[in-house]
Formats: sequence, C-alpha cells, structure tokens
Amino acid sequence: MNAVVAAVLQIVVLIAALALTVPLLGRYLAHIYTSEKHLRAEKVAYRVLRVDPDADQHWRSYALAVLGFSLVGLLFLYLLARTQQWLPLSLGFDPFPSDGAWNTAVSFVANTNWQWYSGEVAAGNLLQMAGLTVQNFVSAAVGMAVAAAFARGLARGRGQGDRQGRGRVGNFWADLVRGVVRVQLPISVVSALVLIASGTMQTLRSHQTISTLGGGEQTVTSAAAASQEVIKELGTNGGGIFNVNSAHPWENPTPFTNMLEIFLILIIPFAMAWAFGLIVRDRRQGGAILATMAVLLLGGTALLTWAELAGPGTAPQLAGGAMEGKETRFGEAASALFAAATTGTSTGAVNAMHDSLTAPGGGITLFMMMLGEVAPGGVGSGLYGMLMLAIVTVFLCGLMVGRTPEYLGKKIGRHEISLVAVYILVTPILVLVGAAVAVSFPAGPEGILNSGAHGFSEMLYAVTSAANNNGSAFGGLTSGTPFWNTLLGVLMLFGRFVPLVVVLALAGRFASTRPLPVGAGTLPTHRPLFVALLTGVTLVVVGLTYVPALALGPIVESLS
Amino acid sequence: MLDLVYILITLVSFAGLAALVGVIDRRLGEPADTDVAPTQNEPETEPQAVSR
Repeated sequence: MNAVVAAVLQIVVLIAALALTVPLLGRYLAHIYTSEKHLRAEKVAYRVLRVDPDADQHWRSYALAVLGFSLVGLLFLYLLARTQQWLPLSLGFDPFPSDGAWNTAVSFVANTNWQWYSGEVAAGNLLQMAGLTVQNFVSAAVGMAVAAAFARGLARGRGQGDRQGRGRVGNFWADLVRGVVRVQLPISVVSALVLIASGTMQTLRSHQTISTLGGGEQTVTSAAAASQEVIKELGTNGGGIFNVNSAHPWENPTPFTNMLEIFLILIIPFAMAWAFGLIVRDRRQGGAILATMAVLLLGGTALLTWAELAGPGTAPQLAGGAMEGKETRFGEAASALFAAATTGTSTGAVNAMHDSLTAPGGGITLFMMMLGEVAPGGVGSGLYGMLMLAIVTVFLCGLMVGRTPEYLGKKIGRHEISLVAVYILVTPILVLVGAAVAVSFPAGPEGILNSGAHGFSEMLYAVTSAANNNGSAFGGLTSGTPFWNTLLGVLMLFGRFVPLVVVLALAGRFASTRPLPVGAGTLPTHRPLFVALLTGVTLVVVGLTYVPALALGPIVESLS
Repeated sequence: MLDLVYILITLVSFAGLAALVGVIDRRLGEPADTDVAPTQNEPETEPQAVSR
C-alpha cells in the first residue's frame, strides 16, 4: 500500500474510533465528577484514608490535599527505589542511586515518567508494580481531579440547584478515588486483556530462554508488560517497562496494538474536554475546546508525517522515507502518528527514537510539547491548560474591542488574569532557564552524544520534556548523572505543581463569583471563530516564547 | 548523606508550594460582594427598590 494512503487511512480509523467513544466516556466522566453517590469499594478507601468524601473543600484545602498526597507518594517511591535490593521481587537489582531515585520518584509523581534508567535491568517487579505502576494510576487521577475541580469552579452559579459557596471546588479524595476506581481500573483491565491476547508479554519471570531462527538458544529479558502498558498510555504517563518503550515487541507487538496504544493515549484527554461541556451545562463549550485540541493535533500529525515521509537524502529516498531509528514493523507513518500523539499529550511513550526523526520532524515534536501539552494534553492537565489559553483569548479579544472579558459568564478581572499569566509563564521560564543552566555548566553538554545544533536539541528536548511533564526522551542524551537527574527533577516538580496550584486558585475564584448574564458584549466562545482565535493564540504565545530556542536547535539543523 | 539532601530538597520544595497556596489565597482575598455567588442559604434575588 502506498505510504501516504496508509498514513491517511490510519488517521481516519483513529478519528472514527475516537468519535465513537469520546462522547460516551465524556458523559461518563461528567457523571462521576458531579455525582454525590459513592460505590461500596470507594467507601472502604475513604475509611482507610480517614477522609470525608462529602466535604466540599475550599480550593486552598483541595490544593493542600493534592500536595500532601503527592509528597507522601514521592517519599514512598524514593524509599522503595533506594531499598529495593532488600525487598522481595527485586530480581537481584541494586538500589537506585540517590539522585536517580529522587529523579524517578519526582518523575512518576509528577505524571512525567522521565526515565534515566533501563527498566528491564534496573527496576525489580516490586518497584515496577507497587511503586511506578501505582503512581501511573494516581498521578493521572490527580490531573483529572484538578481539571474536574476547575470545571466545577466555572460551572458554579450557572444552573439551578448548585451547591454554591465561596471558593469551594469539590472534594479531592472523592475525585481521586473515582478517577482510579471508576475510570482507569476498568479500562486498564479490559485493555490489558486485549493486549495480552494480541501478544504483549505478561509474566513475573525475569528471563525467558527462546529458540532462535538459527537453531540456537537465547535468553531474553521478560516482564509484566501488558498490565503496565495500558496505564502507561491511558494515564498519559509514558514510562516503559523496557528501555526502548513501545518500540519493544514485548510491549507493542503488532500494528493493531500500536493503534490501540495511540487510541488509549488520546481517549481520556479528549473525553475530559467533552465532559467539561457537560459539567458547565453547555455542550458547545466542550466541543469548542475539543475542536481546538483536535486541530492542533491534526496539524502536528500532518506536518510530522510529511517530514518523515519526505525524508531528505539519498538513503531515505531509496527506503521510501526516513527509516533510521524507526521500527520496521510500523514504518514512518505509524511512528509519526505515535510521536505526534505522545508529544501532543503529556505521555512520553515512544515507538521510534525521536533523536532519529528528521530535523523538522524533531522540531515538531518539540513544538508539540512547547504548546504546553494542550493538544489534547495530559489527562486533566490538557483540559485545564487549554482553558487557561481560552481565558487569555477572551481577555485579548476583550482588550481589542473594548468588551468586558468574561468566560462562561465569569468576569476576567485583574486577579484572574494575573493567575493566568503566572500559569502561562511558569513553564517557559522553567524550560528556558533550565536550558540555559544545562548549556552553562560543563556537566550539561557532557551528557550529549552529538555536537552542534543537534546536540543542543538533545538538551532542549530534555528540559522541555521535563518541565511540560511529557517524559519522552530525544535519545542521545546520557541523563543518568547527578547533574541531569537533579536539574530535570526540579523542572518536573515545579512544572507540575506550580501550575496546578494556580489552576485550583482560579477555580476557587470562579466558584466565588456570580456569572454575568449573556449580553450583546459577550464574546461567543462556542463558535468556529473562537476555535480559530484560540488556535491562533496558542500558536502565537508558543511561537513568541520559544522560537529563539528552536532556532538554535532544529531550525538551524533543518537549514544546514 | 545524599539521601538527606534529596529528602530536604523535597520537603523544602513542598513547603514552598504550600506557602504559595497561602500567598495566593491572601493576595486574592474575597471577590467584591457584587461578584460573589450566593451561598446555599442565601437565595439569589434581584435588588429591590426600597421606598421610604
């Protein structure tokens, strides 16, 4: 089949699958984040946690609960990584070094899942399953909870029967437990069974002896891959059980599993946007946010596929595309689609080495992350990131035409726009200062494999991936050093939790304010014009912020 | 020793984030009364003209 036809066909299949399932899951998500009923299993969890799931928390206590929960998770994971040699199921692996354990603990708690180590030769089964996989579930549920709290903040006062109160945004513990019990676990169990049936490995044995085609025997590393693979994609986590991630046949054996994994990456972020429309009782608002996410993702996918298929140079032309660093089972188009999905969300899983993408292709993956993970972004974080940009858009439009800026009837005043400004600025500051630190200290460039523009791209990609909580690696960077582990750990920690605090503060602010009635001066935020404006604002904000850095890396490499 | 350093970094970072919550909460204060959504016990009503 012609490569271009195959590329288009797989995108069409993916769109059809998402179009069928996103509204269903979105409706379900809206229900669970607004329901007042608790399942029996959830009540047990609340009793164990000794929390009241019916308390309507002020944004301040909601945020402190998020921080406290994450701090405990981080310290527990650190301890597990530092003591794994004494624990059962360690497979005889040594403990992580201090800097590596801290980096890993921050990484998984922050839903980044950056991995400086090779999972199959460093992390035992207990660390993988009781530490890393648990964080795959709960860190994703934290993102979903915060997005739900933000949606509720915007929704309060918009309908009859609301429980209104100053700064109250819901209950973190109920949101957290429901996200895990009602969403992630059921989807993960079913999808893991499908993956196992399709050939993905699931075993607690550390090694297998297999017969090779040449008649000899070979010992290969094995693991409980399927159960981790699903939540790795579904929770936009990305940390693979094997070093080469979803390029490994034990994780991703066939083109079918490849498509299923891409679908799992995208389903919750898009469904959260749909749920948002239902929570604020205006489905069109969710549709506009979802459409903007889809436009950005489709644009990125098209450009990336084009860059990889066009692959300049004699060898790529003879091979029919830039095949270096890509799995031959999938080819360029499936690799490009996976790369766009994984960087458009904050997943970070890879089925091809991004270091081997063409220069413009690598630049597009960087740009997708620099968008702030909003196309469609991480589970939960994609929605609140895009809503922040929507507020910037209505504010700018208000300035241009003299309207009172408001979003969903909530006035955007001095305090609100100040919080949004902090949100928009935090990540670029972390990325650009992080890149400056990386190139300024000798320990930074020591880790790169290539010199020149490509070497700079390797460092820029690492700090961008960390601060945006993506977690994918460009490759070519040896990051398992105290310098890189500490720098990236700091970026992941503040890149996750500072925006999250700001989002909750804004949610509380909106929950406190009376919605303005729709009038002649109200900017419609559900029409195609707003989708175009929001898309433009997203691209311009990112462009103005990052073009100088991109010019030093992928742009100059493309031109050379 | 290094373990203590990283644990200290973690605790200081989270203490800073908790402080950020407090700072934002103080800086925001309460919205103006005209903007505040009514509470459950406070029915939303239009202002009434009062004759004296």
